Amino acid sequence: MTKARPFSVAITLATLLLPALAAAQAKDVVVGNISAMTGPTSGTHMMCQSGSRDYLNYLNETQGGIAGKSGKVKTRYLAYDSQYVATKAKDGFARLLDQGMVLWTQCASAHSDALISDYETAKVPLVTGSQGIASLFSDWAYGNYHSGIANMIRTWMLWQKAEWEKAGKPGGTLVLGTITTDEPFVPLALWEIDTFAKEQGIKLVKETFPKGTTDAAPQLLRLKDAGVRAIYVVASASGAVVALKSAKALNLNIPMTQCAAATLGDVIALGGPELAEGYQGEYFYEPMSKDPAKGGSAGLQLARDLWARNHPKETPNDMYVNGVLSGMVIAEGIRLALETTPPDKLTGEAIKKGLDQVKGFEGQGLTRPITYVKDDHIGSKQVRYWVVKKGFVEPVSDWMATTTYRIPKK
Amino acid sequence: MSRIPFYPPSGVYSDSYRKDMRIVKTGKQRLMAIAGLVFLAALPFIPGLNAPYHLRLLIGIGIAVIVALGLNILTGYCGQLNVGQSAFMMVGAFTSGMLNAYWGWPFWASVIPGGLAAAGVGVIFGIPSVRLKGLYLALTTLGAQIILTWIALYGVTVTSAGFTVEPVRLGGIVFNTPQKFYYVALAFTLGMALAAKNLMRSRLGRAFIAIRDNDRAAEGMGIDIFKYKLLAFAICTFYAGIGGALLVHYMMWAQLESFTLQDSVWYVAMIIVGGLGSIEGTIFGVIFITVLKELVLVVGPMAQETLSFLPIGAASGMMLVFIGSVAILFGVLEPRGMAHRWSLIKSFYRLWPFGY
Repeated sequence: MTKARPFSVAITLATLLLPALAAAQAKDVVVGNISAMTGPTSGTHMMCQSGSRDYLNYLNETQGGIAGKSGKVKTRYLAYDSQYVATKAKDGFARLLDQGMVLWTQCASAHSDALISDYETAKVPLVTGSQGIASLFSDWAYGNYHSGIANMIRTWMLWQKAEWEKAGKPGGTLVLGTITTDEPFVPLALWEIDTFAKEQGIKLVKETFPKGTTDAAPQLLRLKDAGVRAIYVVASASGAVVALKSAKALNLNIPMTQCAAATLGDVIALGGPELAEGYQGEYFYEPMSKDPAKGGSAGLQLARDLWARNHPKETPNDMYVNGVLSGMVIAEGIRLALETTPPDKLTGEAIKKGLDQVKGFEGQGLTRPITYVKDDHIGSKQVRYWVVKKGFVEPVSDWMATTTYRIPKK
Repeated sequence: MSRIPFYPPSGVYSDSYRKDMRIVKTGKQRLMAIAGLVFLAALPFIPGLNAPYHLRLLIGIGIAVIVALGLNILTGYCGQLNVGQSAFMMVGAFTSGMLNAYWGWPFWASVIPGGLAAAGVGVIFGIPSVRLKGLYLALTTLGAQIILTWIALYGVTVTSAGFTVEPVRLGGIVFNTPQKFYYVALAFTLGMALAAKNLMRSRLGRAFIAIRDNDRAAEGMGIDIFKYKLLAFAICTFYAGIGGALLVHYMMWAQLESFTLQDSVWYVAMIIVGGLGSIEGTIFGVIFITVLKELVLVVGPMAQETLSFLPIGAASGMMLVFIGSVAILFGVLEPRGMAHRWSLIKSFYRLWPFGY
């Protein structure tokens, strides 16, 4: 009995002190991620998720979290596998909400629209690196780049038009081509594109081949016969590789540009550097496929270091940089919120106020300045085209403004 | 009924066909059914169980039960394979959703048209069942999945982009939270399950079973094979359409990605695991597969973080191997489904302590 007394006292003291200690400890901000961690789109989504997770963990480990005038917080990153099914994404959102989520992120385009009512009702802001998001409508959503998937081809067409005008308008009429697979995002990417082409005085020739086929030669030959000056490829990486193989076999010699549904890095990894040589693509951030010998921004160097530290045995992936950039935007939003809000009051609404103040944020040079203002959370609205040279990518255009078209709501 | 308080080991003696066909045969069964209903009704108020996440899972289970019940009527009772159930669900979902979003029809007015539209399309794809059987028929329903998805993707502009749908309303109540929608899902699930149970005890159900067991013999007995097969398709796809209509009004969003071939395969898996030709089995199968899938979705990310030395995506992908292995094991160890296991448990319980 006597021997047991010190032990009982210790237990009692611990019981009394532990809640007090916990209260004294900085509150963790729960950042949720709902992505397809399994299924056909998991490759892209997992890279994006790893980038934001690794960056926020890096801040926790090296700087003890994110600090503002009112205090410091650590982030706790929780993920849920949606398998790219909107119903499951909604279940995941509810689960993460139960776990205290106050901010969420993803690169899954379909989820952004399907979950609008959920995150608006819960007042949990979204920071998305999605390149295929149909349209950024919600006041609670913050993007990194453009106002919707339909802007990819529109911006490319304007770029081609500018180049064609610079070259003295050869042929009198600008003829451009698209080659697409029959993947679900394609109709959104080409949304009312004929009207846009007509407005711009461009003749647009469209061809499609089924995903899974191994030859796109007939479609490419028809584009060649139509006299197209350049071809835009709206496909995932596997579809792009099929189009590229067919083009090489035909000695097509027409510049081809990949839409942002896949990165040039993906195409190089899948088809090999030789096949991808000369292939163009768009990025709204500085890609990891850039030759390391040619340097890069501080943000790119950080992304490379994070990759080397966390995934030493794997091939670097461009979408990882997209994820890192999302992590940076999240951290910036929290930092700005902490300027006025103490850590224990850091709700979704408070973080939204922080995000609303993001101004001229470049992610250590990873992207063009991101400024969020009322009714415009789109992001930088800047894109740059790159080309594959000897297994790496290098810029083929300067940064240029994207179009700001929005697919009508409903 | 009230004279028989519990189910005796010798079985319940019925002196008429009507009594023999009763669903609830003993007082104890009635008591348990009432207790079960009270529990289900009270569930959104029970601490620990009433988290939105849990309620969302239950709503998902309820909708899947409706869709799988339809499939079990066609496949389990009538013997006709269908691997395109989620496409028919999509027809009901988009019909109900568009009636609501573009013409302002409330849920209560658009849910039945959703079911009927799915049934109409289902009957068209069911016509080949007169001449085709087994895997050949499965191929035509696979075709339905591909054709209907293609139409939704390229044929109709609004369905390719997705659109918002109004929540269910009744008087002044808006069923826009899991706590509220749970009751809509519960009412529909119980109603549709009871309807299926009754249907299968009727002349129609007996005709389906006769066709399943031997269609030539059934025809010899005077059953109009063409009519009943098409009826089975209509009922199956009507259930799918109702499930789809419920889903879009629950999600308040209609989107093509919710109705994939993979979903159709899962519905087939649910009725096989639960037990073909069993209403109770369908419910067990849906619960089992849903919980298993949920484990993958929850444990996958945890495995991803814990086993960070593995390549990105490998740990979460491993969970799919797990779910596949469980499905194979189930097929090997209990090919007659969970319904059979349930009947064994009930028999054991009835005979206890004298079972041998």
